[in-house]
Amino acid sequence: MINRFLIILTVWVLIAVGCDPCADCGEPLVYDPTVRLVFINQDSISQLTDSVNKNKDSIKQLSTIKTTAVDSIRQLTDTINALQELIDDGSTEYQDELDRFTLISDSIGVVRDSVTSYSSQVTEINKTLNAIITVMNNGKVQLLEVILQNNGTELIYEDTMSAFALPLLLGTVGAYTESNYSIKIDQSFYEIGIGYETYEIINEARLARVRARATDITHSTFDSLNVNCRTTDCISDETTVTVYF
Amino acid sequence: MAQVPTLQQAPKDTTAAVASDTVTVADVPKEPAQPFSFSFIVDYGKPAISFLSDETRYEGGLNLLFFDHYSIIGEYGFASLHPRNALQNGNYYAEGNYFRVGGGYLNNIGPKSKLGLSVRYGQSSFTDEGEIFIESSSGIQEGYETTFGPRKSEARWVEVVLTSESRLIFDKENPDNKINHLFSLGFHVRFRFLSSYDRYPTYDTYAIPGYGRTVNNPNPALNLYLRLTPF
Repeated sequence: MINRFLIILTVWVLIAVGCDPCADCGEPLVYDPTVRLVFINQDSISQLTDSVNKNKDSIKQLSTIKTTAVDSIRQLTDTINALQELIDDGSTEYQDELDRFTLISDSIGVVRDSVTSYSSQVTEINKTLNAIITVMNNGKVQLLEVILQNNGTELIYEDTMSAFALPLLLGTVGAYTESNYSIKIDQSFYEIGIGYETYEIINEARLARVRARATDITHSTFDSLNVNCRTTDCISDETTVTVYF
Repeated sequence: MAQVPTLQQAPKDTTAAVASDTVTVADVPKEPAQPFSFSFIVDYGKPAISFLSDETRYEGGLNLLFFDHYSIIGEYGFASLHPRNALQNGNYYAEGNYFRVGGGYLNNIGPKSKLGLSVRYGQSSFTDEGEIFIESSSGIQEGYETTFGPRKSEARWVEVVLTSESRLIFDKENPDNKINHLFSLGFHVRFRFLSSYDRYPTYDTYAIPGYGRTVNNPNPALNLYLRLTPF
């Protein structure tokens, strides 16, 4: 009985050793702590917003003109009808007046139709501009050049994206460190400095990493920026910096 | 003479039949309980696992048995552990000696087998150390390597142990041969409850020689052993 138990146990131990889930254990983890950067082209957005507002003013003015034209046409129509009655009663001397008023009314009618057409065209243009503003607010840009100034390493980001993960230098773990980047967008160069303290941490899956905490922006040549931390520790990988240029 | 006709008159009386059986069993001479016996225990599962892995473990014990039932147990062992799950991107090593002392009750199940329950106190003195490897994913920097330890630590725990063993019969024709009483094979099912151990920030103690992984509490274990009872 006990011998049979031992044979079964030995077989299971061999199977368990053979199916070791940790075949890759001891291999290095491929990882850098990062900060997420979102770029917003605020200058262009401001210009577009100005255009949208000007267009809105135009639409309002066009609407006023249209109202005036419609009123004028109504009054002219009343006058034309009165003249027509007089002519019908035998006062044919008003025929010239009737023709003149009819011509004026038709002209104002053309103006009214044109104003209506312009108004709808400007409304369409505003719709397009607003869509562009929404896209720009999502921050989709292409970074033409990203250089880590600390050691001159160039990073390549080929795609147009809404967010970029910038890797951070580990420095001396446990000490304050800075990673300074130079970034080219369109024809302009920008600089941003990120300060933080690195520390070691191990998670439940028994993966050891070096992360950064107390992440902050030391300097920047962007128009403005906004640092969004998930916790008060402001840990790398959880921090998003939105920059406006 | 009066009893004989009574039995003949009631041959199907079950009470009488049971009484008769009881008398028969009582007639067999029972082996007298030994006031004291002494045995060695060798854990052969640990060297087997050591052979399959890069860990080294061995363990032995002494057992005093009073009146066939009451035992006092002492165990001593050494382990050099390298649990691969301790660090996915590194290595962790723990090495040290440990002992356990305790007592329990052992019951005979049939002529060859025994089943027992005991409680033991365990203590381990060990050192542990480790190393971590991280490679840069972006290539902006060199890879990072760090080590921790060696750290001298101690741990204490309590175990509840279920024991089952069978005597090995080599000479079946002579059941009373001395060789048939020398060796037993068995196993311990242990439930270990960690009471205290030295803790460290970031890379805490992961494996304790004699106890196992600190992430499991209670920590179950199965040990296979050979018992030699020379006296």
